Amino acid sequence: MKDDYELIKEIKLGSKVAMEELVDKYYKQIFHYTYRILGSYEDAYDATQEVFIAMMKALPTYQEHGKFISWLYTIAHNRCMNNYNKLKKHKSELIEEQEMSATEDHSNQYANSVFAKELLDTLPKIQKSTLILKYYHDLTSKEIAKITGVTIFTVKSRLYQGLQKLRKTIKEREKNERKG
Amino acid sequence: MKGKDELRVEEKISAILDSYKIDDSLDTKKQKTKSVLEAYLPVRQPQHSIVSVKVLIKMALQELFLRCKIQLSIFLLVLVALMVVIDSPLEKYLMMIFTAPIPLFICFWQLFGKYDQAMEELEHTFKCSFNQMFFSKVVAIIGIAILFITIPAIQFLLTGSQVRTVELFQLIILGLTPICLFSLMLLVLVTVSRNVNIMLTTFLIWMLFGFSALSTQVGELLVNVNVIFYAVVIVVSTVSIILKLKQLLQLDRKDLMKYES
Repeated sequence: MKDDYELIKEIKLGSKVAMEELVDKYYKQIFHYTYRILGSYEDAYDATQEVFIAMMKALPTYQEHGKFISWLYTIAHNRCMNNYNKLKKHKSELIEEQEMSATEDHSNQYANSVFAKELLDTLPKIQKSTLILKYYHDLTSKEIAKITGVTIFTVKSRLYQGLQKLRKTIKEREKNERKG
Repeated sequence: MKGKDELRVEEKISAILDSYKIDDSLDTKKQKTKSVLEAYLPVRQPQHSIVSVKVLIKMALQELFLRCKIQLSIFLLVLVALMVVIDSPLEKYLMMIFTAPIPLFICFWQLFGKYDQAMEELEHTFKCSFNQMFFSKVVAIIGIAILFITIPAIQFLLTGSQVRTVELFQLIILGLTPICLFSLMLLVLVTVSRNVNIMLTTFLIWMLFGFSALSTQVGELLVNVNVIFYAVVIVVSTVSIILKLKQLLQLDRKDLMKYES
C-alpha cells in the first residue's frame, strides 16, 4: 500500500486510482468526525464531500507538514465549525425524530447512541470537537491543538472542562432518575 | 466514597461514549464522492520523451512554414537582392548583422504574439505539455534564424573568391551575435508576457540603431571590434538560452520523473 505522500504526488499528476485510494483510506474517519459534530447523516455526507473537494482544490499547494490526516481533520474541523450553528436548529428537530424512532425501535444500542449524542450535544462546540478528536480519533493534545488552531494548554483545558460537564450532566440525570 | 463514585461516573461516561455507534454503510456515498472528485483531478500529462520533442519541433517547423511562409519569403528575396546590390564588404557585414534578427521577430510575432488568452487555453488542453510546445517552437524559430544567416554567408563564398576563411568566420560570428541576443531577449519577453507591442518596439529600436549605424561611424566601429568579444557574447547568450529552455522543460519533467519512479 502506498503512503500518503506518494498518493498525493500521483493525484497531483492526475491519477484517479490514487485519488480513490486516498478517499478509501480516510473517508470513514472524516465521516465519523463530521457526523459526531453535526449529528445528521445527510449533513455529515455533505460535509465529508466538501472536505474532500476542499482537499482536491488545496492539494496543488499542499506542503507536507506532519500527518496528512491531521491536515484533513483541520479542513473537516473548520468546515464543521462553520456549518455547526447553521445546522443546530435542524439538528435538534432531527434528534427529536431519532428519539421517537428509538423508542419505537426498542433497540437498546440505538437508544444508547442517541443518549451519547445528546450528552455530547450538551457541550459547547469547541469542547465537543476536542473531546471527539481525543476520544474517538485517538489524537494527541498536540495534534488536536494543531487541528483546532489553539495551544496545547487550551486543548487540555477544553478536555477537562468538557469531561467535568459530562460528569455533571450524568449525575444530574441519575438524580432525576432516582427522583422519578 | 467520593473517589469510588467518581470512578463509577467515569466508567459510565466511557460506556456511553463507547455506545455511540455510527452506521458504516458508506459505500454508495463514498462512490458518489469519488465521482464528484474526478472533476477536480488535474489533467494528466502524457509521458514525454525525446522522440516526442523531436516530433514537436517538426510540427513547430511546419507551423512556422504555414504561418510565416509569405513574410519569410519576402524577407529572403529582400536579403538576396540587398546582397547582390551592395558592393562594399563593410555594408554587407552590417546589413547581415542588422537583418539577422528579423526572422526571429517575424516568427516570434506569428507564433506567440498573435495568440490571445483563448489560444493559450487551447494549448493547455493539447495532448502535449504547454512547456514542451513552447520549447519546440523556440527551438524551431532559432533554427530558422540561423538558417537565414547562412544565405548571405553562402553568397559571400560563391561570389567573393577573395574571401578568406578568417573573414567568413568573422562574418558568421557577427551574424550569430544578434540572433543569440535577440533569441534570449524574445524568449524572456514571451515567457513573461506575450505583448506584441513590446516585440514591435524592440524591433523598431533595433532597426533605428541599424540604420544609424549604417550612416555613421558606429557601423565601422562595430565591425572592427575584436571577434573574441562577439564570441563571448554568443557563448554567454547561448548558455543563457539553453538554461532558460532547460528550465522550461524541467517544469513538468521533474514531477513526471517522480511519478514514473
